[in-house]
Amino acid sequence: MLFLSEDGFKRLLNGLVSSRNVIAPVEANGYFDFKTIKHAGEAFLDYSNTRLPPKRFFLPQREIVFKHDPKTGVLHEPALGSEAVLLGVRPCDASALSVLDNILLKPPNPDPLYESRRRSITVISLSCAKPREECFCNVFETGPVRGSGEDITLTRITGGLLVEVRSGRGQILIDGFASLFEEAGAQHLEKYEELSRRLTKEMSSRIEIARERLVRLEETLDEKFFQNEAQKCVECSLCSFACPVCYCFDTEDHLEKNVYVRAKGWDTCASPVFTRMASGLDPRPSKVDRFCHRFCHKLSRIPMAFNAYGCVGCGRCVSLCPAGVDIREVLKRWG
Amino acid sequence: MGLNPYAPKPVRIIRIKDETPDTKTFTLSPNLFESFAPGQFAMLTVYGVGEAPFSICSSPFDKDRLQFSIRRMGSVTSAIHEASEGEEIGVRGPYGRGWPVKEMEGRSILLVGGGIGLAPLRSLILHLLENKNNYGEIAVCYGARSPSLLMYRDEFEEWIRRGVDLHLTVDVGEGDWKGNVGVVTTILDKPKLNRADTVVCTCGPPVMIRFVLKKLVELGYSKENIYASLESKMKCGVGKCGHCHFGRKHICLDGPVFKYSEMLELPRGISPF
Repeated sequence: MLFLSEDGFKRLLNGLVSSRNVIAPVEANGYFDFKTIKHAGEAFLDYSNTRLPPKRFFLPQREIVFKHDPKTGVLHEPALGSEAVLLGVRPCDASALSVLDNILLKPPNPDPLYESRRRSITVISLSCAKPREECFCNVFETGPVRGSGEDITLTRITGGLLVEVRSGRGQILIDGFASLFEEAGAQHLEKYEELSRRLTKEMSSRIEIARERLVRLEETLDEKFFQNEAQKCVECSLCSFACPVCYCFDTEDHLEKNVYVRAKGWDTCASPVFTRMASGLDPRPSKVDRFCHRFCHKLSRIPMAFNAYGCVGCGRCVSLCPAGVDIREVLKRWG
Repeated sequence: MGLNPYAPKPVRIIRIKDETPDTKTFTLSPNLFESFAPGQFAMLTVYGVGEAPFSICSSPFDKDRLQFSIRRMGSVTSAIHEASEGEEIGVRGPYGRGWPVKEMEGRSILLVGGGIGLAPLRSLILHLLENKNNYGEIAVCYGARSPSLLMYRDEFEEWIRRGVDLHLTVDVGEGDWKGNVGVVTTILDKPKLNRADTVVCTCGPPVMIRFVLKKLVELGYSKENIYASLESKMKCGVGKCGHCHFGRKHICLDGPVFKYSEMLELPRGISPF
């Protein structure tokens, strides 16, 4: 572990912004969102969490998959991701990237678009000081101090930040600013442990479950419970689109200046056409079926197929749902 | 960047054959697949329109061409039906797990098809006939809604000549139809096979598969030896788009062919049970 003083942190920020493309949380219209910043002062790091996760920098809402020129037969591959530093990501959102790695990089067909962005963006996480009411990262051990998909973990303690290098990419960045860091002392580590203990205790007093039991969701579906909950759902899909893990995509083809283009973009399993085939047959025809799938997919089906939970406890779906659907109710019942 | 698994490669439609009033068989060349197993599928692209999954219906031993039988249904299939010979379309694959040809060796085989569900079974029939000595008796029970909807009718004689015990049925007879009338389960008892040691492969509409599985067990076929090919909407074919993730399985990666016991574990809706 390394220690970075508050002054050192300012100099690191300035150094990063002047030498690299830096994406950080900024305040706009009463919300926090990730944006490319030009000056270190634009970064707002004392925030609870951003309205939307930084997923779109790795998995854009819409991206070109290929272009095919029928005249020349040339296939244009999409552009590679460009180098950037994503700074100030909360541990839950950083952990979501490691879940996406399990899914999208799984052999034998890793998603090359996602892979190139994961390679070119260095992720620096920042511990939470005050978890929000709707947060439940403790359930999946994805925070509130340390996540699992970041290259560098920053933890704010009194007087500065503790720095943990988590990957080779993180080490390269740190090496470029070596003079700013010092080895963390016993007093720093003590503060770190204390913060970690306090936040974990605070969060587990809100909700504590045995998550390995969630697989039972799949085995014994409580139809009555899901029927009641699904009645509230208005199928707006906000939960999917605000989720740092939801990765399902749709494709769209069109002709653009005599060149064929295919784009892929975010899709949602709440959509009534998500599984409906051209013949009209639909293995998931009712709202209750789709509602059940959303939770089973995250808590049981993704874990079985990809060895990671499809939820990181960021709480966005809880706070954004216009109908009051709350995934924590599902967790409490089955976990 | 690694190989782009989402980008199809262009091939030409070299032949279009009217199979039934709503289904055409398209022959594509060249065959860009090094090899494929009967029962595997490919993603076909009509450039500028879209992409969808289709079972390969040609012989795995045909190294020059690929064939797909396609029923006019939605935007992609309608666009393919509008295409002419010589036109370019995109193909990528082969994907998924096909029929269990290894487990079938040395045993008798029953194939049960309904409507266009005969397409992936045709690839298997052609594979079996090419390796006839490795397999026991081969019986096929095939049904369609009406005689004009029977697929590959001009190939039946050849299959029978090469040793296939073929039984046909239609839901509703028409014209000079003299064969069996009734759903496919009404002819499942016709093939005289050692039922306990026969591998059964079935493909057709979900409701047909449900009743075929039930009838097979009643007739004494072993659940251990029963397989079905299931269908689902797909956008990628490689386990990334999420559309065919049901229960613990991806239809595109773990299927489309599933064992009886695996189908029991699939969630309601996609499971034939």
